[in-house]
Amino acid sequence: MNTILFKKLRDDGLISEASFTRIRAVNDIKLFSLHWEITTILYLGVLLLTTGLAILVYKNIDTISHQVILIFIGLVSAAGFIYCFKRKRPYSVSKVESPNIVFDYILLLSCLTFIIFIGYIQYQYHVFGDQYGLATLVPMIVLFFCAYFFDHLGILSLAITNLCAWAGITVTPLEILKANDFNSDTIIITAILLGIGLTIAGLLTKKQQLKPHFAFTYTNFGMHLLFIGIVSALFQFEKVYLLWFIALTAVAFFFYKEAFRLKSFYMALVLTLYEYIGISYVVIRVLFNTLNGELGSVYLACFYFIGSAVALILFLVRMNKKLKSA
Amino acid sequence: MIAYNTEWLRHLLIREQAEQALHEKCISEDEFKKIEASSPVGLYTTNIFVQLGLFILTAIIALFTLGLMFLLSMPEDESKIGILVVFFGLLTYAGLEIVVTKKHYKSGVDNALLWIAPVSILSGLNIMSDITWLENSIIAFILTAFLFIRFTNWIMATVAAVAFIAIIFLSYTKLGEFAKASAPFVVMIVSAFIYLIAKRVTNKEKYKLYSCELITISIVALVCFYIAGNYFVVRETSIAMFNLDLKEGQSIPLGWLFWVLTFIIPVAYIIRGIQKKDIILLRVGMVLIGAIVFTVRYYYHTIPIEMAALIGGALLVAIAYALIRYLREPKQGFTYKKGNDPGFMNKLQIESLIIAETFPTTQQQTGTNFQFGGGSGGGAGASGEY
Repeated sequence: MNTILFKKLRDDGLISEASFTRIRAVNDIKLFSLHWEITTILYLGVLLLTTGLAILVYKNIDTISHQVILIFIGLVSAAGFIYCFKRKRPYSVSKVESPNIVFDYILLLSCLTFIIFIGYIQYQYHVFGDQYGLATLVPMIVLFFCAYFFDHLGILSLAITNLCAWAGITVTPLEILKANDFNSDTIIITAILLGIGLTIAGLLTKKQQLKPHFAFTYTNFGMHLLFIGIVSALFQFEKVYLLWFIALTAVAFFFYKEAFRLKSFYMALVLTLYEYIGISYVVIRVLFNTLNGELGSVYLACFYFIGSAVALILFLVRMNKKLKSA
Repeated sequence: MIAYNTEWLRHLLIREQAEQALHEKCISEDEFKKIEASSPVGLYTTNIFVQLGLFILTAIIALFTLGLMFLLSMPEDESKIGILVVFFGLLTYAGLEIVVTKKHYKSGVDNALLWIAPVSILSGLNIMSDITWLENSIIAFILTAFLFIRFTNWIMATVAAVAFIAIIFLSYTKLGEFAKASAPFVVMIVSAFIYLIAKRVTNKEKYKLYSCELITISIVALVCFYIAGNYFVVRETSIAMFNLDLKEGQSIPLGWLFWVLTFIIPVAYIIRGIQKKDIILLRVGMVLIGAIVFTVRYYYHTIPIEMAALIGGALLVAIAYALIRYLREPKQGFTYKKGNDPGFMNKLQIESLIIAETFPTTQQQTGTNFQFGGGSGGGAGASGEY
């Protein structure tokens, strides 16, 4: 805080003498926080360790005995879990602060090595046979358990991703569009159902007050999955695309209400953009179908985009105002 | 000179400080309200999400306006296309000035136009005729420096600083063989000057409205100072730009000096940062440690990558652990507890997304992705696709 500025504010009579002394005192004992630096180092360390371990295993899979590798990975995981069990604070349905910052990362390390462990025994010994569903189900259950038991948002994200993997689809944010072939009908329907499920989970989490700070993560994953699913359905099921457009609008309306309830600008933006993609698709389709792709339709499309974007800007500005005062 | 109402910009700074004071419970709610009332801000500023939306939409409008201009004029050859694009750039600049008179300030609309205008002017000029690197740098510098001063924008400040150093480098190396050999040192000296000036000016009342931009300029200067002395950069640019005939494994003249600089500068930044409690020096130094690792690994493959990762990872965890232990009680004014400003990062719970992002769940791929920071939500990804 700028002491000169507050001095001026004091002289103008805007703040009291006592407040000014407080500001000076806080400034004097102000500590230099290395939190960001240390967490970054820790995160990088865990990332490098797990990466190195995974490559090591991958490269030496033919030379070192499998048991040795397995035992080593298992030991790392077990040691981490033991540490976490010992250090953890008592369970509560509300938010539990982690005992220290190392705790979170050790938990992360144990969970990740656990996943590697399960993957490895499945790959090598086919413990779960050909039931790959079971091989992803086990880590998923463990991850969900850890997320709730130790209260860790990162693990919850991993668990949700694993849930989706289990349901036959991998959803890490960036890879969602790359890795999946969104043209397959079953995958689209699965994504939509999962999206609905996760959104409901988010609502229930809030309502039941069971770790209410988890609600955002559920809703966020659910919202994107649902929107991406419906937009892909719009592109995929061409014959009934208007029906899907109606569904998209309905979902957007639902999140619009949610955005107001939660006062979330983020949600408002996301729903606006997905809905815009849907509307634009329908408009361009109709435009090119009626004009048979003549040059005139290109002109009209340009005008549509300019006009609609202006309209949308006005809409966002208005919504911003409404959300602020809501 | 500044396009926005400077009175309001100053008030924004006061409010920022007051908010912090309120957050630290130094002033009461009443006092905060009084300060707010005494420093009115009439600027239209949106929060980050609305800003993102407005940015994308403005870019869409600009893109299709350009498309429409093409359709209507149907330019035949390159020079006409170039003229059209330059004209479009000037048009966006006019739009920017108009938007600013409508009191938009970092609302997303002005941010987008601020980008589009210089990029279109520069690319239009390049389409029109062949322009050398040096001329490009000069034009870029003039454009961005002007926009930076007029619109107090940190991205423009960054580009301007880089362009300025590029101008010095490109014009100096034209002078002959000796100049080429001594170019790294000239760049280092210039960067050092820029850093010192930026640093000195930062705390001046007169340049208060540029404080954020001065920080980015000093970061650019610090990074350029390092890059100019980095062994990898010096060796590879010498080969690529000045046709230095080096065989595989052969070193450059004064190679030892550049190796020393490669190692020493980041360490010096970190030490100085800790001494002075200067967060910028400290963080730049930390990031540049990565550059050391990269440089060494590029020339010496003594240990396989997985061992390097294991050792490095273990080392980092150990360092972090030791630091936390050491700082269990705050020592010498340092703490490992969080600072008192809740950032946008916490709001979005970005960390959880990054974790899901960087640790792929499909087991076989573990360790293939190294993507940081791509976690601002899938929404951004989906809309960017559009």
